[in-house]
Amino acid sequence: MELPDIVLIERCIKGESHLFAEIVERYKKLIYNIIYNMINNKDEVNDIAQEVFIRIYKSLSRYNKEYKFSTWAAKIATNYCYDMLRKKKFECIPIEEVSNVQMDNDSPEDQYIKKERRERINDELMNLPEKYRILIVLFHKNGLSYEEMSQVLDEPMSIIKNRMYRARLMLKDKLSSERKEGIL
Amino acid sequence: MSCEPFEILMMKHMDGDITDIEYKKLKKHIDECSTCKNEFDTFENICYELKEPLIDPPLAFETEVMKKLENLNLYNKKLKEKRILAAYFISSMLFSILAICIAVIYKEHVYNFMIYINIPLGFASNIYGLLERIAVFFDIASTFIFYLNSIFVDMLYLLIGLVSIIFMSKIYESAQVAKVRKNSKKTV
Repeated sequence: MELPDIVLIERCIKGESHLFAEIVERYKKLIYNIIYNMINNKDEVNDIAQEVFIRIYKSLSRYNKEYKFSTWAAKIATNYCYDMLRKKKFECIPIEEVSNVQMDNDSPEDQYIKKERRERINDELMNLPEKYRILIVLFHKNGLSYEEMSQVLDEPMSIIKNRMYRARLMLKDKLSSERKEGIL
Repeated sequence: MSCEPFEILMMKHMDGDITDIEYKKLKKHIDECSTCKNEFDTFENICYELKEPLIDPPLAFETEVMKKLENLNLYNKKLKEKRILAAYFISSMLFSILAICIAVIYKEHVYNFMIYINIPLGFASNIYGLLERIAVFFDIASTFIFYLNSIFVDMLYLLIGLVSIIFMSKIYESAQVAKVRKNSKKTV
């Protein structure tokens, strides 16, 4: 039977640190994807994700039960990404082929166009200012709710909503100017 | 006609909380307004593409994290051991100094006790002599300190004043540094 997060955490704190592996297993995808979409230099994503989990482990005793664990972990990951971005401006490395999943039954030509389009969108996402990018990443990629985002980012809901509105408009404007140039 | 309300509807659509009536309204407007249709299509593309499957972390991810944590714990343990050793060393030093002091103060009793438990006389006198010498040394040291104190008593106040000035200026300096750091963070 699967143990609930809170039980795992309490036992970890009491010294059964091997149980932390289970927590890593549960939340690695979320944390990994937040970092993947926030940090331009993909070579560093793995190291940063590991570092985030070590931070989570170190501050386990400060975990507040009122939050969902995913929200709390996402908060630590986000803050760490901000720190890293502030410390050094990562060089912009073009995003490699991201998905290894084959699209439905499209013709190769369609597949190529779709791939191209996805890369454009991800590129433009990377060029958004951090505070807008994180919202798109959390909501559209990782499926967090507005309430969870407001907890992760420590901002009131109204600001989150407003910022999300502007983030989407920015992304759309960048892409539609490309559409005029015939890329999209 | 202003398109702004429809932009808000598009946002609601992306948030996934648009009502059926609102959606019909939006669809109707899109059929009539090409600008909004373009916009809507771009948004739909964005949302669709962003929903791509999430990246899978490498298989060995947990193992690597746990390995790092283990090293960390090991490191903590070593540090703790070192600290315990240091504490042990310092306390044993303090204890032996204290024991010597007490022995010096009660040297007659120590001597009598040694005679009482049949320790050879020569050895006991040696110990007594050693304690005597330490006592003399203490005496000399304390007289010396008193002597120095009487000479430098005026200098002492001067010294205290100087030290406090240095201390205050250090505090001021570090406050300044903190301020500059804060400002530079803000500008970044």
